[in-house]
Amino acid sequence: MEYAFAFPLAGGLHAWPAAALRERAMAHQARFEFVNERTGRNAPMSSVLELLATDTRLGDPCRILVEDGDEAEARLDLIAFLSGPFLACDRSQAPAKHLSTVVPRLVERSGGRWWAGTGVSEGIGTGQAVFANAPSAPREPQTVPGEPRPEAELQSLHRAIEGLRTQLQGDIQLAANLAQRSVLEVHLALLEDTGWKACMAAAILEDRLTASAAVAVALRGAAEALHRSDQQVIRERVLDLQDVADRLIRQISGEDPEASHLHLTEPSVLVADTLAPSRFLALDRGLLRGLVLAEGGATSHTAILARSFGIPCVTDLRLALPVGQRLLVDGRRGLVIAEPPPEVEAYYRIETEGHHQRAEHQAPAIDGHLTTRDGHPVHILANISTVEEATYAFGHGAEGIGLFRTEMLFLHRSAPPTEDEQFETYVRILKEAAGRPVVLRLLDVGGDKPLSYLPLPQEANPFLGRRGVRWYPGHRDLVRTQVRAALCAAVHGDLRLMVPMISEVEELHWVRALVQEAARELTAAGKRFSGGVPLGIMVEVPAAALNLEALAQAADFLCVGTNDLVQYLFAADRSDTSLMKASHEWHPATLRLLERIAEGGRRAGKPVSLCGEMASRPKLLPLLLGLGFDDVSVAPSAVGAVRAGFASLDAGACRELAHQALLASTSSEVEHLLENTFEPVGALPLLDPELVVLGADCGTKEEVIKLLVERLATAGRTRDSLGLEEAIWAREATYATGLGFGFAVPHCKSPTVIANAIAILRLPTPIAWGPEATARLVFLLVSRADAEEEHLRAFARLARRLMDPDFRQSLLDAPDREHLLDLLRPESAT
Amino acid sequence: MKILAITACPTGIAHTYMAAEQLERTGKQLGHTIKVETQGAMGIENRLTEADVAGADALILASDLPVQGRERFVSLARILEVPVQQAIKNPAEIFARLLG
Repeated sequence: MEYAFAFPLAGGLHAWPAAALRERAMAHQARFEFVNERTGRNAPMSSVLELLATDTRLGDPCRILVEDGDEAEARLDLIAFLSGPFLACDRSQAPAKHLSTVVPRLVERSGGRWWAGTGVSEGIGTGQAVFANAPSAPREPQTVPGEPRPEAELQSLHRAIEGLRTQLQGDIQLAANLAQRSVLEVHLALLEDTGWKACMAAAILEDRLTASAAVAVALRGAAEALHRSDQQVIRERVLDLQDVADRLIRQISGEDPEASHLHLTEPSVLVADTLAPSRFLALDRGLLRGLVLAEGGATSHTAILARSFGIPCVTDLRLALPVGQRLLVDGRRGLVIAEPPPEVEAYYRIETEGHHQRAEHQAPAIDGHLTTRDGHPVHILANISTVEEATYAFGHGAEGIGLFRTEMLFLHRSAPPTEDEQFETYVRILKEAAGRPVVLRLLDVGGDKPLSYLPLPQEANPFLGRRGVRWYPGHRDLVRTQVRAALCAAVHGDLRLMVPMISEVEELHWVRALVQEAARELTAAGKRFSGGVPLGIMVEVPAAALNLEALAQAADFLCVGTNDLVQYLFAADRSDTSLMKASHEWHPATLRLLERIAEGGRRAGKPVSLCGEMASRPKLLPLLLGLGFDDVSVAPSAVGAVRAGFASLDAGACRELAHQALLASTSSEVEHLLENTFEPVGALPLLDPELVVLGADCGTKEEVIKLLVERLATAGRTRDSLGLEEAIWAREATYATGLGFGFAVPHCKSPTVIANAIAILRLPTPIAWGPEATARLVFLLVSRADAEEEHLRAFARLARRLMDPDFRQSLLDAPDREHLLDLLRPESAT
Repeated sequence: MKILAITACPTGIAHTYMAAEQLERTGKQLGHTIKVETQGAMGIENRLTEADVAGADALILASDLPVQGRERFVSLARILEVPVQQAIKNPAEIFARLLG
């Protein structure tokens, strides 16, 4: 049996997905062979290394051959895996966003030594340079001196593998975060790699090498295969392989694993050619302020770990430095600065403080009701499968569970869960919810999500087959048991039932009858249950959306499942990335269908919510809100960001945007609208006490501009503080903005500005402002590319008034920022 | 004397107006009649008309880029061009040069 597909991950088949594939395959008795048609390479799925060596990239035509054992079930399980959890393997791999390489003027001007590499982990850190030696080079093969005893060597190899496995398993248990755990799991998978193990055994038995030499030989062979890949993300796995081999060799020789650890004694920046992930993890991260590496790109595991622990990291730099230098690592711009002068440190301190303030500022309070900026109430709920996810979601501000996928309870087991078992899980989630709503989706299985204990006839196209509610009539008892468990659990909270894959009204009638039947049985059995559980539907089949009036009459609530709705609307398999484009989500056809659903629900007086990937995309939130979706359910990890996103929107402006988007004829037209004519931040006042700094301790023009730009970013006037800073300096380059009487008016008009503003800084004593002027009072005027006339007029008025000596004196004399702002308001002008 | 001026700068949100204000203040202090047109981000304001030009003695162009509608002033004999910065920092000197 086989399964053909286009490889779905943008990052290619790198270590995490390979380890995940292997793990899934190993759970079956069947044998799996992975075939990449483009590269012509095959690999048994038991070997991560061989999977990596297939050099598989996004969109490659691939096949998986499944043979022997439980092949039918194994194939279905694999298909479900490939179209679901597998797609998530790629995510945390993404390198840190938007790293800039602009060198701050102050650094260039300081005359000190600095180097530019590639920033792979953001942040700024300063510490003493500490040099790490490269990990021990692979040892030269040695034959056993004297009488060769291959069996003893083989035993010693197996003992070492066993020992390292125990170590890694222990480390995985203690992992501090997901990135660390994933890296360790890849190392474990490499250790267990069948191909590598066979190669080591052959080197011992046939070539009569020692166990250590066999590890080194096998490492060299595997490393060569990976080096041939044209994908950096795969070549970088050689570092992991060396790491595992190195630990294995130390196990064999009985070396103390601690012996190779670096001990930091003061705040340090580690400089190394490469740093194995295990050595990174062994460092005292309380003292580690930065990493400078010669090799290892953004997707090397050490870089991923550095990001997950917030340690700034710059790569592609081979530094030759005297011992004992202080280094500043700027992971955002990819710079390393030796012996940074005080003003450079001050500049970076301003940037760091700005980042910290924004991190606090931008998280809306997680208690209380959320509204948009113009007071329109919105509700953010979470999509979950487990109790743990519910706990996480509620901890991050979810106002309920908008989609509880119950399949997890039914998958990966040999018999369905009992009514009591289900009841217990549902009650736990309702207790977590503490009165907040929980929408339980009735079992959504079928050909694409098979259950091993309920063999299904194979369907040619499972996504168009007996899924969701269509599967129920053949499995009535199973569904009735779930309904009974849910009705009993509903006594403990606000539980609602939702039916998946509805396309016809009769299907909903059928389920309602089943619910009534379950209620009668519970009454007869004398069990406590809730009789008034609302019954809603998933709107995910276009036919349902187009017959919404009838369905809205019959259902108590509606929830749009955008993932399937878009897949069915475009007749494009969502697991096939060559067909399914993200842009389908904002295609005018999708938007018109969504508008119809929102409007239909409103007319019938039934609540409509939306769950699906769409709601997790910040750029689409204005569209969804504009179409009338103010109730959305997203992945627990997205709850915080979606709350912040909605809080920054203006519902009125969003409606206008949606209105225009509905008139568009292509996705790119809608995209253009989203990017150009709409900014979620509407009109903010030009003057804001948060933008007034009195008595700041800045010694240079660079620090002053930096400080004001950080204030503007924190006040939501720009999302690209580095870009704005550059735009201001570009303006300064045309001519200095010092006015010659202790005043300076730097300014710029730039697309990096979201909302126009006047930021003000007053210094205790004047500083140099360019070669000729000095400045004590600085007005920074920033304007959008399309600033409103009202604001331009205010800028012009301020510019004119600054020519009045009396006005300037009163600004210098103002006792506090309120007085200063009062002087600037239009009504104070004469 | 009746003096006209145009101010303009590349961004058009600050220097244009500061220069206009300085020229107006200084001109009045020196006892002249002065009218200043601004060519800034809000477009042309306080436009100099044919009637203005007909009655004027001199024109100051305080600008860092070519001004719009320069053909309006072909009839004027005295035209002084200066950088906009100079109008802000030392307007009195401009009047001295124009009339000296």
